[in-house]
Amino acid sequence: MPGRRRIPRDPREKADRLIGNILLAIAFSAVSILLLLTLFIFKEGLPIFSKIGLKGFLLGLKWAPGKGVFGILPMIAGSVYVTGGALIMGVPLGLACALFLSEIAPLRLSRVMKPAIELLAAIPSVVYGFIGLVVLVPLIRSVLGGPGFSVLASSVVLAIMILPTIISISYDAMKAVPVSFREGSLALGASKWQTMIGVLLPAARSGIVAGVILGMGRAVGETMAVIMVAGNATTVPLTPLDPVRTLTSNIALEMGYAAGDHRTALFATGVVLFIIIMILNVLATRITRSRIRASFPKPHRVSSETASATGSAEGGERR
Amino acid sequence: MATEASASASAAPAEDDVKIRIRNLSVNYRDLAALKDVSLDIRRNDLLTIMGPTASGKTTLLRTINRLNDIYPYAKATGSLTIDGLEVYDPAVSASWLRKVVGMVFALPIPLPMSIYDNVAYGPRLYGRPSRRQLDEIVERSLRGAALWDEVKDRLSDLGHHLSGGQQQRLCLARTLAVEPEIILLDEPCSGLDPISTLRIEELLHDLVAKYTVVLVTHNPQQAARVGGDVAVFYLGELVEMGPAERIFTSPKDRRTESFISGRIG
Repeated sequence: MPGRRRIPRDPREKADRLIGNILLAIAFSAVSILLLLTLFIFKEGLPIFSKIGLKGFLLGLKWAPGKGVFGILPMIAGSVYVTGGALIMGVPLGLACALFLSEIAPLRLSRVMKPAIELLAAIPSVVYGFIGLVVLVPLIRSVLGGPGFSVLASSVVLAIMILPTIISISYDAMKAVPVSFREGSLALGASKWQTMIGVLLPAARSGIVAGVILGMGRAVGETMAVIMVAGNATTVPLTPLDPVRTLTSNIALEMGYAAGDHRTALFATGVVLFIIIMILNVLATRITRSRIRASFPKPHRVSSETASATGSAEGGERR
Repeated sequence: MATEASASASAAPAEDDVKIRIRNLSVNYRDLAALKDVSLDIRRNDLLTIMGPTASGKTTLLRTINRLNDIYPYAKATGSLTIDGLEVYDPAVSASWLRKVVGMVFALPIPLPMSIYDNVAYGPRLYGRPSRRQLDEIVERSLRGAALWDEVKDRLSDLGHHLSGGQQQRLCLARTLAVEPEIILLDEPCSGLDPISTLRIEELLHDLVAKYTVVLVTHNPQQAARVGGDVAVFYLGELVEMGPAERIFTSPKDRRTESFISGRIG
């Protein structure tokens, strides 16, 4: 009987293992930074809750660090109003733009316009704030009255800032809808518009929602541009023309000189912000994932006759 | 039925017998000539099978009849294509209106991303606000017409793409029937189906001819032979020959037809 064949050794396996471990360590260090950051914010911020209570902090109407009064309801309300305003203006505008680029514009035009819109995201936020400060604030003051520094001004600036996110992700979601859905609808005699409303938007819905949530996250987290146009008063705004302070502005404005309980309260503001952003992100990933799981039927087979009929959806930058 | 209809094919069909008249039709995609100077008549309430290998222009012909090629700005059609004497490419003719008259079933059965019921109701809802009762009736009639009703009547709210492939294709046929077209174009409707589902679709074709003018595209000579009726053979954008199925398969006049049905090209 011939001897049993020995297991051959492949030296490359060792290298693979080594490289795998190195990559693991690097990846872990990135995650551990997030972990340390979270721990740090919570450790610095949580003591305020035991001092003035969760309710007193979250629902307190007055923010007077000099007197040891720390209520952040005005800032929570401020963030909600400003973000809500940004979405009311930004979502319809963004969706309309994405629909135009994906369904109506000739390919050549959308190939130029989409990168141009994505470039909007690369402009530093201080520039948006500056333009808001010198153009928007005086305009609101003279046309609508009030100080000009307001919920409205912040919402408009934020709406513009979240447009690239909403447009880019909605556009990708629309382009990912198989051509056969559109053809199926058109072949039944549907008009272009009926096809968009009846088939395209429902099919792209999860992607669109994910884009809106990511835009919302951007709006909640934006600081610099908002500080410059919001007025930053620590009161709950009653009209869109009232000045407003958001959670992020609160931290940025006061952290420079805060100490003791004041500093802790600012960290706690960060904790609240952190939790809001986390919830939004989890929502966005869940929705995006369910879109992949729901897996569209196979895309229309591209025959030689219809090849290159539609532009492939260029993968947009996702944040 | 099919043999009867084709018996008179040798004589030129009477004027009002013709549902679709195509004269010197050419279609180009930029530099690619997909259809070259095609002329043929399709008779009312008849079944015409268009047969040919890939890239012979079959799908292009269908997409030209219902102007679905309009969505490709670079597709250019020249020549004449009339339905009941109406020039389809007259700029005054609305493509959406045309597609209601000319229904189409695609090669891949892709239900719209909604329930079985809504898939069928989608078409009628495009043309007004039918009541729930009317819709129920249309949905049932259309699903029966596509021989699908008995299989899905208890699960109409299920998503369309949860059905099997053969059922999905019949659902696509049902949604086409729901808008009450006059002409039905079928673009290789069985290319993705198993033999049993294929057989069911082929049986349906004969029922459809009673009410509709049917144009079937296939790359499969056996299917064309099974279905019968008139057969038009296409090769590289040209109409090679046209005639009753028996004649095409027993004594083809053109060498290319013979090569195709014997499997040498295709």
